[in-house]
Amino acid sequence: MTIIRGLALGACLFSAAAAAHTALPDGGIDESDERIEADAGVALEVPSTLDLPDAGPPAPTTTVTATRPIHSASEYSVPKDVVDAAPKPSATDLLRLVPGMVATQHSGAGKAQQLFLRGFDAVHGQDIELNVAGLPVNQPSNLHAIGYADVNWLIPEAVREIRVTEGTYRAFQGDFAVAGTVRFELGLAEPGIFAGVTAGRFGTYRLVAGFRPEADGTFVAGELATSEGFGESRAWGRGSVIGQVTVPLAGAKLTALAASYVTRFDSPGVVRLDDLERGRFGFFDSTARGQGGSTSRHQLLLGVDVPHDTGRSTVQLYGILSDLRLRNNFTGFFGDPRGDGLEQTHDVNTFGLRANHHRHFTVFGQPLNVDVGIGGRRDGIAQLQKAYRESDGTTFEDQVDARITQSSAYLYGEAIYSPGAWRFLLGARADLIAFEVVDNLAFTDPRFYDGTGYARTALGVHPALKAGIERHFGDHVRVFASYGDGFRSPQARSLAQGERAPFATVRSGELGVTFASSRFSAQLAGFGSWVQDDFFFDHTVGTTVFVGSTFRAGAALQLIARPIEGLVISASGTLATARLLERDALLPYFAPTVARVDVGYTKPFTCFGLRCSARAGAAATFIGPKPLPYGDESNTIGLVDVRLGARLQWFELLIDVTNVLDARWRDGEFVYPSRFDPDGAQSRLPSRQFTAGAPRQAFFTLMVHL
Amino acid sequence: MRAILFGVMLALTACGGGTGSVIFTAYGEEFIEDKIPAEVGTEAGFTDGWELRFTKFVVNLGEIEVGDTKGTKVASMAKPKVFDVAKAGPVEVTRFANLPAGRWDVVGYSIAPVTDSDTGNADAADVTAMKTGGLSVLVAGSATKTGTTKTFEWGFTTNTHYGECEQEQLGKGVVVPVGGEDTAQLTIHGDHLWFDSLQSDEAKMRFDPIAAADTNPADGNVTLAELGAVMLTSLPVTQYGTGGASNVKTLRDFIEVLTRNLGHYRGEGHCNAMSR
Amino acid sequence: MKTKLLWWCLWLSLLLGCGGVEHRRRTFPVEAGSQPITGTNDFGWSVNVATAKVRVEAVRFYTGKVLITREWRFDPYVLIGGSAWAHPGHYVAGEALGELLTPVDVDLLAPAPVELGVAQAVTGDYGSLELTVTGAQVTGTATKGAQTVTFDSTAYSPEKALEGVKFEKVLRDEEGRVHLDVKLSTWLARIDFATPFTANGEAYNGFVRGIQDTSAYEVSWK
Repeated sequence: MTIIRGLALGACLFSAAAAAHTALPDGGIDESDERIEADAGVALEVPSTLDLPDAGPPAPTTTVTATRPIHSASEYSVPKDVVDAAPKPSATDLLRLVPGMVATQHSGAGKAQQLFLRGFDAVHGQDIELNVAGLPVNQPSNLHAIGYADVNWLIPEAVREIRVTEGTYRAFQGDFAVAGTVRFELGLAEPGIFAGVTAGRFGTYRLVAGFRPEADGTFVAGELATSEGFGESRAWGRGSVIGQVTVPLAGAKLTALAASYVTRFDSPGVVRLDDLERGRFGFFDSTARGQGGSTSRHQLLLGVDVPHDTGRSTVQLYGILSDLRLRNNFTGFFGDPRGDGLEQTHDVNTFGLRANHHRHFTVFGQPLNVDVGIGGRRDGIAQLQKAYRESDGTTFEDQVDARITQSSAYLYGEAIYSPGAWRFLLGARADLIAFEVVDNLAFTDPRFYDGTGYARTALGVHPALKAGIERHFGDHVRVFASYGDGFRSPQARSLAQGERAPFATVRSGELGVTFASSRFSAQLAGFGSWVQDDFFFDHTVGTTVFVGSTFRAGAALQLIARPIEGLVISASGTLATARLLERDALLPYFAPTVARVDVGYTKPFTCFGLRCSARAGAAATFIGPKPLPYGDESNTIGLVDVRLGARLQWFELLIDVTNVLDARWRDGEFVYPSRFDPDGAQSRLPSRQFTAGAPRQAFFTLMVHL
Repeated sequence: MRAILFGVMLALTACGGGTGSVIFTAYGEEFIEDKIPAEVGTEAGFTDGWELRFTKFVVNLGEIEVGDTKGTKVASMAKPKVFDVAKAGPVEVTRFANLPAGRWDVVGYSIAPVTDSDTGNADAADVTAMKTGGLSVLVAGSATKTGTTKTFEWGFTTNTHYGECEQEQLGKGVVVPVGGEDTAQLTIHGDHLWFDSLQSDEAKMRFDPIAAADTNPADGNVTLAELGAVMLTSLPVTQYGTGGASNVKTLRDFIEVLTRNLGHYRGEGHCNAMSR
Repeated sequence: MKTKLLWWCLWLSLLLGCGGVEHRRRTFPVEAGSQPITGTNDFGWSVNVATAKVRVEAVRFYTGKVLITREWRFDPYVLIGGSAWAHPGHYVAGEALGELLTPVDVDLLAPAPVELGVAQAVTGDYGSLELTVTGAQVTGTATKGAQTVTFDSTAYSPEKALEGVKFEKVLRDEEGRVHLDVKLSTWLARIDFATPFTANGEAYNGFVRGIQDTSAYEVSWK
């Protein structure tokens, strides 16, 4: 394996030039808007300009985006019409569109979701690399959870496409891409100005507005929203602005993307199932006071994309200023009679640079596309953790006070050779991460030490090999075999001086088949992932737990059909298993069965001589019971969301109903010891706790399009 | 060319593990090298006003091992050595070179009776006494309070293995740096012999009952036999609690149990102590 | 057919959540009794117990293994959990594996073991047990040579639970119950019955230390 890696690295270093090739979710180039590949991969044709009589303003157009070429059976695109089919009040709903993804929000509307994918419990992002139009989302060494990935700043109307690369088979995938990579592409659906106001249940109000000139790629969108929340201690408010400008200049394309976001939210905490059954707490009640938090995020990305005869080159710079403050108490009074609440702050300044170079060759008369990327990033982190009293919220113990500088650099290359009906992919990547930790609290306990803190540095290197074989059968069917190495970086504070940082290394493989025609596409894959020296950061108590080797396997299916014009049906289903190898036991918390169907229909017509349309859409989600510790199983979740809309030229009315069946469902379920009754008999056994899912909610939106 | 070389370097770094060294030291801290004072305010010390100095604190340190939880052992000490941690320290116990770099999270050692040990920094006479008596721990010193001085010299034969040592800030075991050396200290906590509880977090250091045991004869020297004549039932029921232990009936039994708590790791770090 | 079914399950277990998690919930009954006194105690008294009662407030089971000291027989493997800053106590209970939280009054001289209740528990590697007792009281007569005294120990109300009672068992799904025997001879071993039972007296001191001696409790799985 070592020799193979060395050879692969050497091979990629000799590679040169351009792949006229796909977007790189590590932040690279989005090509497919501007070219349509000769081999178009999965054909997801989107209806182009609607054929309507000349009357009034331009017809609402749907931009034709060229299909994204895929190089494994688990690369998916979720196009705009699927994104818009059913209600998407928040980023959680966007994440749920990723085939096989379970996204829960167990601690308030502003906290990063807990994610599950392909047998992985990715916690708050430790196993899924998230990227928004080139901006990295995951936060390494986050105090609350490794790889904390907060996409709540996304404005659903500004999400043009979701590109998913499940597995670890592509060289552009970096840290945290253990289960896969999800990249959100931004853009507004139609040119012009739009503004909307939404009113919904539980005092939910939302203002959204945006502007897009005729040229695609440039837009500005903004959102202000507040809600009282669907139960105790769930109120939230947020504001988000996203703007992107693309400017052609002397043959090159300049891109600037800027975003600002702030949110403040309350969180109800968890409810013990036995407390619910005893009537001590209600299903939507809050169990510990003062939980919640706030986040701000200010981001800027500048890029230049230079095409040339044999390919293209792209350079991007980005900067992210992020502040996170959380207060959580997951265990009540179990550990401390004053309360187990923890206040955590995690402030990060992130700066990065990446460059990509694509080049086209012909070798023995057949195309060879080569892609080389380099990049570097620095995260300057300040983190604090204090214990606070349940009675009045005052803090009583400093537990963490650290400054971390985490710097990383990577180099990758990927070559795709396409002789005839075959395609061979070979890639390699090397990541180097340096950690510098200044622990201000270490060795300062006056009972035992007279120190003033402790600083340490560590370094880790991770090489990765990627490989794939593809065979076309006719125009519609392709068969894939893929392999890839991936990794997850550790918590900086868990490292010792001079330690070679231990990454959790994943080796994944997959076999799959795709079918694509003008009206229908399907992708089916069987996958397996082995993680050596797996660890997870138990974010309820803030400690790293090493669990040994783990294995996950399963199968995933995605279908998209457009049987008639205006109708889109998207369905996906994933079966998975996850095992602790050393103890031959099921891993808890992963989602073995996930299925989702989205259906959307838009019918244009004229009324009173004006351009009108009616739309209807629905989404159904099924999540089978997850194994919990001690043989418990979580509840089965079945949710249906519905959207109805009507548009009269410039005015549009939307009625969204989420959880139409008003199912009483548990968004997150956990098993661990807790105690929320400080006076009662204290059980120390692990007990089941949950966070409530949202009940039926209706939202009425009036939009104006000019 | 540079890019190629860098790539090859990276590949080699990824392949090769590197090696380093670990030095194990022994240290008695100020409580053994200097004195244990009387308690003042929140500063640790004897709650009943005594001040104690050790003239010797000899321990037989051995079986130092470095490995991981999968059972791999990369280093093992050949023979135990006898050290007097009342002498100025820290003092090197042993060093292991050319260990594979990385974290080795299982470190252990023992304080066991001398059978065939080398001499560390202890006096030859003390090593002989340890060998002759089959001792693992030999302590001597004196305690003073308001003009009264009591001396003691006690040998213990307890056999204790300390495993899975960890220190809160530095983590479990030891990290061997590439091309470097790390130091891991076996810390001997001399204050543990004087605690008045085997289990409580709020144990205090006392010497009054020990001083009062000097009756047979009352010669200013407290012997183990004299301690063995003091039933714990003659001491206040709120002191010298034996929770978590069994068959501890006399003051001698009590202090003998406390010797199993002497061994620590890297200052305030702890190990799983196994009674053998 | 069976083989086919097995293959399907093995294959499905790869895909679905077939197969076991590491530990499961379970219950088991807990009962208590006592062992009769034989011989004399540390002060040479021969004791005849008339009544022996105790109120068991709670029984908890943990993973942490215990220190046993001054064993008269060789005990090959005993583990003391590491301590944090506690000093000196190095028994650490570890994770809770079972508990019985219903108070029960127990007549230790009952002809049959007294059922304390059914413990809620999980499977796992049990190492120790924590016992919270109050109101322990023993009456009877003690004889030494020509001297016979009637005694009535004062009721015992400790401030802390008795930690670190040895109970080592790898418990999975097997049927059975936990049996707790109180060794009255250990409870009474340290008492010089010539001294009266007063609140701060040596007899009471000896009784309290006897109750706190973890070797006074023998726990087994039946």
